[in-house]
Amino acid sequence: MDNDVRSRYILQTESVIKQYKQYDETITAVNRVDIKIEEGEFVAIIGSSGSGKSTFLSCCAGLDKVDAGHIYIRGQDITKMSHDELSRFRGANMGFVFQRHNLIPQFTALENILIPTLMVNKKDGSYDETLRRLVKTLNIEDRLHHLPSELSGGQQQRVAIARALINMPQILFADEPTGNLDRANADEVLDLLIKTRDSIGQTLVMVTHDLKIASRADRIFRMDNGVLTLDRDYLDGKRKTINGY
Amino acid sequence: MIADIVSYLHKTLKMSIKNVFANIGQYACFFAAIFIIQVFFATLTIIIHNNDNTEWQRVQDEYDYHVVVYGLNDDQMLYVDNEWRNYFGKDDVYKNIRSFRHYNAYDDLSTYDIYITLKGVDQDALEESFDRFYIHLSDLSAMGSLHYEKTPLLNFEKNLLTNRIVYIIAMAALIVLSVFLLVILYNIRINHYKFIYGIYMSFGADFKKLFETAFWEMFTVASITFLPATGVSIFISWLVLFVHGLPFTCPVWTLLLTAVYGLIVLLFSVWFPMKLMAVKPPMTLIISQDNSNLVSSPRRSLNIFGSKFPFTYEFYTSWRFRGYNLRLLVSAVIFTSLFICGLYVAEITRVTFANESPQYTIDLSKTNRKYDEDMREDLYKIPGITLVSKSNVSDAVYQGSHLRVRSEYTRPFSNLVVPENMDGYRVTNELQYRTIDADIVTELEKYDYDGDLSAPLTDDNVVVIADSIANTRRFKYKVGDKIEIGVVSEKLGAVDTNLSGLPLLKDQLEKYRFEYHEFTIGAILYDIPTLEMPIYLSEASYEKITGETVKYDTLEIYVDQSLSAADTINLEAVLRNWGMIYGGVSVDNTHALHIAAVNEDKQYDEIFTIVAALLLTISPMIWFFSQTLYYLKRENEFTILQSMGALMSDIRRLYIFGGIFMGILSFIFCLGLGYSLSYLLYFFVNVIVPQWTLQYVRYKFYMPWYAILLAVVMSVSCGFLSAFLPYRSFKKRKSKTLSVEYGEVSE
Repeated sequence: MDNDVRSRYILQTESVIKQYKQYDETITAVNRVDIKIEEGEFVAIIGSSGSGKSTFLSCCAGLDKVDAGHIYIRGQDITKMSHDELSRFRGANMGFVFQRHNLIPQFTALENILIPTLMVNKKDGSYDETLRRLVKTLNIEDRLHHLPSELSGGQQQRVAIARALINMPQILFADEPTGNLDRANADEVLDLLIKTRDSIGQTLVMVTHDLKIASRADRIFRMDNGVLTLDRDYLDGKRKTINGY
Repeated sequence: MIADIVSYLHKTLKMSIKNVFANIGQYACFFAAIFIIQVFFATLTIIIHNNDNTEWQRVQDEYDYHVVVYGLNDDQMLYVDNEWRNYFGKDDVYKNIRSFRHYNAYDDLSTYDIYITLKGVDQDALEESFDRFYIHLSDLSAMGSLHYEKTPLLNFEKNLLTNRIVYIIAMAALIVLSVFLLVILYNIRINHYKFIYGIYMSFGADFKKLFETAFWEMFTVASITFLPATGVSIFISWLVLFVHGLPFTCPVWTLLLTAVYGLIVLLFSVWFPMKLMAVKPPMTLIISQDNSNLVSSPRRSLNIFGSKFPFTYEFYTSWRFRGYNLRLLVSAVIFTSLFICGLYVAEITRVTFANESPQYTIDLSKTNRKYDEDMREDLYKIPGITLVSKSNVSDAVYQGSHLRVRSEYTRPFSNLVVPENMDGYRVTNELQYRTIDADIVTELEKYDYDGDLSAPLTDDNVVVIADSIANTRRFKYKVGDKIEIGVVSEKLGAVDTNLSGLPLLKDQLEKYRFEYHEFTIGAILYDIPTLEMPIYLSEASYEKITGETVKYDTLEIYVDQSLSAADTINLEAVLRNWGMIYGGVSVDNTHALHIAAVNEDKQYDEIFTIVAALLLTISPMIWFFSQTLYYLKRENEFTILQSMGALMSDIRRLYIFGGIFMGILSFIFCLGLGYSLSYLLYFFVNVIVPQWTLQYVRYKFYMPWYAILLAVVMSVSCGFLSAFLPYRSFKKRKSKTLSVEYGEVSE
């Protein structure tokens, strides 16, 4: 497939395989997964625990190595990038919300949010407006100078989301971003993510257990024993037609 | 451009300072380590700079001439008196500051020595003067033999160059050692903060970013410790020199150089760990945080509250963290081992410099006279001479001969040739035949020996041998045993001339026939320096075995060590007069007393002792830094154990077990590593170095009991306390909250 076709998609994977060794057993967490995601799309990946969806998401974000296959982001094969190229590419184009929020315990909420700006050497002041908007929308304005241990689970997750969005990445990977939130908060966070997507044309790839949240996605995929399939039930219900599937 | 750099530095340093002070606990160990490294560099640089000054001062004090031209005949002296004046005219290139005339009344001959001072202040000017002087000096060779000798006053800058090379090698070694230390500490830090680096990398941090951040943080630490470290270094250097009554200076450049060394160390010590980390996928770094909080292997968990808890549990944990434990043990204990080695190096330096060298060498090869009793008596009558050493040596390899040894007399790994058709024998040609007489017996008495060294003087069939080759004991001979020396009796073919050493011997055994001469061992020397095995024979036996006539061509003159520089010049003149009497004997000054005094001024043994002491202080740093972080990480695990019913006393026993476990292992590692490294050093200086360069000293294996005791006590106590002390802070933190969270806290 030539690059022009690939660059139509912001994310495209080809036969991605990821395996783990546990004692003498080899576990295939991601098994020959192909996916094509267009710019601005909101894609949800659902599946049972241990089905490999988080691993797949980490691989797509270049946070983990694949054992085989290719992952193209904006037509560029990130599996072929050097470690430094990948880091810079990630900093410039991607955001990631971890399943367990993964805030640095020694840093305040504000410092945690600003980490990505430091990593890509953003000039002071260039992110002020975004920061103001994010903390206001996420309702964490009065918690910015608190350490993560002084925040509730929901607040910690909002800080993690703010951290993922501070650089306005073109593609956001979110692993159970609303897992620790109550219904109202979860809806609010999702509203924010969708609003951000709409405002900057961001692509959103989300792993979730929450079918209500998944139902707001443009497409839903199901991960089962490392195999990714389009969720037909959902597709039929929504009567959507997706090119290529 | 400059504004950008200033802005970058301002922003980066501000952030680094903030980060360092916000996490001062994490960086405490780096403060200590970098402080010690800076003390290393500053102390050595200052002392070595002062050594150069002291050496220069001593050279100026002891020498007032640059060149001595000696043994001039009447024609040459006349030429010097008349022609040189014409050549140089008013251009005062040289000045004859002293001359001696030696007169041989028997032959009515005179010789002259002239001591020359050249014009010029610095080395370049002196070299230029010498070049001009040399043109006319070489004219003298047409009128007779010409002998001249440059003194350390002319060669000082060349000697200084040697000092510089030694200094650069020492600094390079110190840089490697310092980088090694900081890399260990940085790896400990990375190991415990992988998660943070994983997050940084998830959000775009590449190697450059990680490196920059780490470097500027270390730079901040180094900047803070720089002034105190230089203060301490100045004090140590001053003290070392003051104790020996030597002058002290500390120019600014020595401190700037120290800062440069520090920067080089920081660059490398941050570069290596960051480069290794930057190639890891961020997710593996983030996940390792979770893995470190595992309670224990799930397969073992069922037993943890049974009879096997807490000791078996902690034993499994020690196994689970075996990689960490092993790395910690090696990296912490290696510095106590290096302390022992540092003291050994100091001892080696002491022994080397304490070894007396001859002040003069006398060459008899150009005379018709054989060294005899008259010459000997005359030499010993000269005041200041303590020993006239002579030797007559022939290598077995040139004779085509060898030593045949029954295999029961050889030690394991003795590296001898196993000949065909000679069952039960080993052979070697790594031998040196030497003659022995009463004077040589006296010289040999300084070594450790068994038997009667004088026996060969009364019986030609008795020899004195050493039991080693290349300073390694190879034989199990006893006094009274027989040795067999094989001498070529018939050549059946030509040996391969490209061969040497033992391969040559193998070829000789195939192509030559040998006649074996049996000798009785009268005495065995144990600690004599050997490259080849010396066999001391009577003069008659020596001539029989080697086919050479005994002739002592070179004499080495040892003098009273308390002689002044002026005394040695006078003694030199007296010796040359002696040489004149015996006709054509040349006397060379080795300047051994001057070199010994310069070496003594340099206090190398004390410098190495200071370096060793500093190395010892590094070990506790590694222990406590690493173990504190390790147990801090495990606090979650202990909290979970408490939530499952473990009492505080159980948790305390986990810490104690961990401490005892590490204490025992550190005891074993300390002795093992200390012995191994010391033995490697012993092997290096005794076996490897003599193959590169002439060496007249054989070093004893040295592991002083106080050093071993100190190293073991430090390792064991650090191993235990670095595990036990974190328990106290854990207990303090938890005692307030546990009663609320998990009910009663029991001790």
